[in-house]
Amino acid sequence: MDITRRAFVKATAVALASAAAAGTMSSLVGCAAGGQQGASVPEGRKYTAVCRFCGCGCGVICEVKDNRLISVTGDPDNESNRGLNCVKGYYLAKLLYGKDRLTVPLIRDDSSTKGTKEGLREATWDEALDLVASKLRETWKNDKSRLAFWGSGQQPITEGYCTAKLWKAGLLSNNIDPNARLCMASAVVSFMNVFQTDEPAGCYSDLDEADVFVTWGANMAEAHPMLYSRLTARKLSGEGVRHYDLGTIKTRTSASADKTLVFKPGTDLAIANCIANHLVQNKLYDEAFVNDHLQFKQGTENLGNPTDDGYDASEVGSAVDNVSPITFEEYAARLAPYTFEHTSELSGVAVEDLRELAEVFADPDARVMSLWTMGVNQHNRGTWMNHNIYNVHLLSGKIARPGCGPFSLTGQPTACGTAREVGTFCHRLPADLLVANAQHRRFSEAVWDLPEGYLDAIQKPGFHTVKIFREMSKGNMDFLWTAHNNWAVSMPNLTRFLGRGEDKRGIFDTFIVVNEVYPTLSTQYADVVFPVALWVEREGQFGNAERRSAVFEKAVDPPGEAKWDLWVIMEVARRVLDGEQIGGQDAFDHLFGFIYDKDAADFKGDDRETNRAIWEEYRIFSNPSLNDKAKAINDDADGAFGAKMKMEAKQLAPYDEYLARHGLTWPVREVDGQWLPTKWRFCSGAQEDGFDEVGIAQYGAEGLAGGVSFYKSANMKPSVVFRPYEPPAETPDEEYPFYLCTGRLLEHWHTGSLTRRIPELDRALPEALLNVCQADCDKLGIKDGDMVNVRSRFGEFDIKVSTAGRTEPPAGVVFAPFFAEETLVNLAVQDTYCPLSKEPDYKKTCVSIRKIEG
Amino acid sequence: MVISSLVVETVPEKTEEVARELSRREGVEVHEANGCKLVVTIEAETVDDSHGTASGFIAVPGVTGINLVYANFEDDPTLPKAGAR
Repeated sequence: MDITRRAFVKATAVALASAAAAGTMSSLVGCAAGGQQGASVPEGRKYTAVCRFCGCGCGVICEVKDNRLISVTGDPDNESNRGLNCVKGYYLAKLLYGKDRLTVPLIRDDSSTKGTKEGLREATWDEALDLVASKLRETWKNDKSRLAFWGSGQQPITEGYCTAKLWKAGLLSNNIDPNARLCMASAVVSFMNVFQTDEPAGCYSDLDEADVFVTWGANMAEAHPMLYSRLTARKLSGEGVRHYDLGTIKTRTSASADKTLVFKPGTDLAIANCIANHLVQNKLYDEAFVNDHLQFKQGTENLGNPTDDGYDASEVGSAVDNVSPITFEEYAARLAPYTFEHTSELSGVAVEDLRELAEVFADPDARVMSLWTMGVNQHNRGTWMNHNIYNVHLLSGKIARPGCGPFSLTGQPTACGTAREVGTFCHRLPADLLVANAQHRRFSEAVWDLPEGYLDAIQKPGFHTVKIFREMSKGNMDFLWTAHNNWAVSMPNLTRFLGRGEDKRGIFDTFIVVNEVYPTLSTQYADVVFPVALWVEREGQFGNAERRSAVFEKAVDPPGEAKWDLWVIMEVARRVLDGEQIGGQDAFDHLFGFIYDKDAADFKGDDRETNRAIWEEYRIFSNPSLNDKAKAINDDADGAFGAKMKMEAKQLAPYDEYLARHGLTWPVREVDGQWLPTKWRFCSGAQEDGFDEVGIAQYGAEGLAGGVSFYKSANMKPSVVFRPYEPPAETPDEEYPFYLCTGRLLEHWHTGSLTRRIPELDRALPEALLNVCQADCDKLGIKDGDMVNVRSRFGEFDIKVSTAGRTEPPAGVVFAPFFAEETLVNLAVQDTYCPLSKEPDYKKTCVSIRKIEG
Repeated sequence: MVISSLVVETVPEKTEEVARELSRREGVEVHEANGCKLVVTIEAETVDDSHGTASGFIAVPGVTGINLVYANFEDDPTLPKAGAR
């Protein structure tokens, strides 16, 4: 950099930060107007993007010179972060430029080398694609139950959409599930049970307006730093804002909370019921809100736990979703046992602390925001715990209004946008639709131009994630394709799934395909590795926790022979579907001919045109008036289904709007030729101010309590379902006296497959440490720095003890992060899951701890 | 040289104290205060060094938030040049 250039860069840096501090940054950023691909400025070309790391979904502007990223700037026009990024932003450049990027396809000829760093050889794309396609086709023709695709909350929206379309419509298989099953499934099932629509009513702006924050088992300070920064800024506003942190361990988040309530694992269910009981028994709930908006139910109880492979098909396992209506009085009677005293005894939280928390919800004027993520979702009653948080907010009417509401956080950049909204789950079709529902199948057939009844072949849900891996370990899988995840580190019970336990053959006999950007533990088990483009090496879209869909433009080329994932999917699809027909037409052309020329082995347009074309098809799901047949089914025009679908409740805008506006929160409404986002779903008010004016006018009602209308819910009434306290799947005993809780820390997300490539981040937190409290150390005769063996009923691992770690567990609980493949804590973590959501409980495995001498 | 800028948030009564402390650190300049927010630049050899400096701010008493606004790493010698990949 010469002196002139350096002076210019420095002046730019100062001006941008100065403007960011003053809230006037927008006018300074090169492509603030958006929409123009690679706006040309003297320094470099600038592209709008979204951060690749966590679930906050912060906008960034990428500057590129000579096909190389040279700077990143917080995007002031992305409303999620308004120009501010966390310090992880420094590493967006390094992310792309790790030394061991995968740049050529790899094939393993000898499956006995799986699980080692050896055995993969370089191959041509044709050889690798032909091999994968032949194995997939062979399995597909032989027995469709023996193949699966495992995707991700990091797979961009259009890529997830095409994968789901290939699997569901092309292969007529429901054996597709995302890694979001491991983090968000409990939130999803609860949203659907309570509201009949997925994702929160509120938005990130609620953080700037709440009076009280309640974090439930969420270490936001480490896992969601940008949002936590907004929370702390609100607390410092001088308006008496309070923060209650609830968890089974103390974290960095607890450090800045006004009060931390440490409860015994699993008893959060009782605490939420205790708050509800206080509101109901003392008539401190919002009566008008209850009368106008709520219906009450109870469901199947005494669920036991899915430790056994046959649980889902068992009598109780097949009844877990059942609910029946009850009266408000019956609901009150079910809550009655959850007195402060009883709940205190169960949870270990002091009566006065429980009372103080309950009073927060009893204050009619307090705007209360609950925030939660893995502590609630990765729970043997994760769906129930999501329910119980909604129950408290619904009873108190603290929902769907600015500064007020339950807010389920996400962990991955597009867990919402791809896994949930596209529906890459084994029971889903796009846009919240279910394979088991005939109206939903007819609607999807209309959008995809399939013959009526075509999707009846997939009316039975396929294998959920744990089922896929359990079946694989038993030798019941022949083909598994995974993308954008690192299952060999992130799955629970790795002792079983990596073939180190009694089930030894499955992983070696299954033909495994992995799309990856760096070598991971999962690639060590792959038969074929496809090297793919990372982040801004192609165009894509993420959908974050506040329902914001945003585009990241292609800014640089992928390295070597690495290819866009979507090209890989198309190339496998055209081979597998060769000779197949749908409605008398070539099957591949019928499904993907609008974007792909199979004879040319390439897309018909560039990245932008391809993404736009896919988006415009996907958008029909939430804009049924774009397709006459779909519109008639949405409106139930012939009365065949007895209900309207109300698909516009998730309405998406045309693709170019997202480029021009740097992301929009759905439902996005066309008003006088302008596409306007919705920040507060179901809340009355002007659309231009972010309220749900158009949705309420179309399907809801004005004048109801709180100025809200839950128009997507059955009978316009969300369900308060009573869910009792039931204990964890395992409780400590003499042999396994400690609860092991796993989680993630600031420096590493996901499984470390991206962040551990970055030396500085890896140096900051080079190894996984087991946090143990001093009292337990004394009892075990161990000290800081000792190596210990941690053993459960599922497996074991060795790890170093830390008494001054980043978390402070109470006696009887130990904590370890799960990112390190050399420690591999998930070897010992149970694969028991929430019976409703099928999401594993990573937080409560019972273990023994033994010092390793020498 | 990597040049980056940040908005560092502080508790109201410690803004000046934090500004003085940050200014003492190598490569760090505090350019202005806007309420409790400080406009800060870091000049360091590499992205790693810049991250290290920025991350260190959280330990300064009175700092409540560190927000990265801009990072230019075109001269980071540890990043591969275009064409080298």
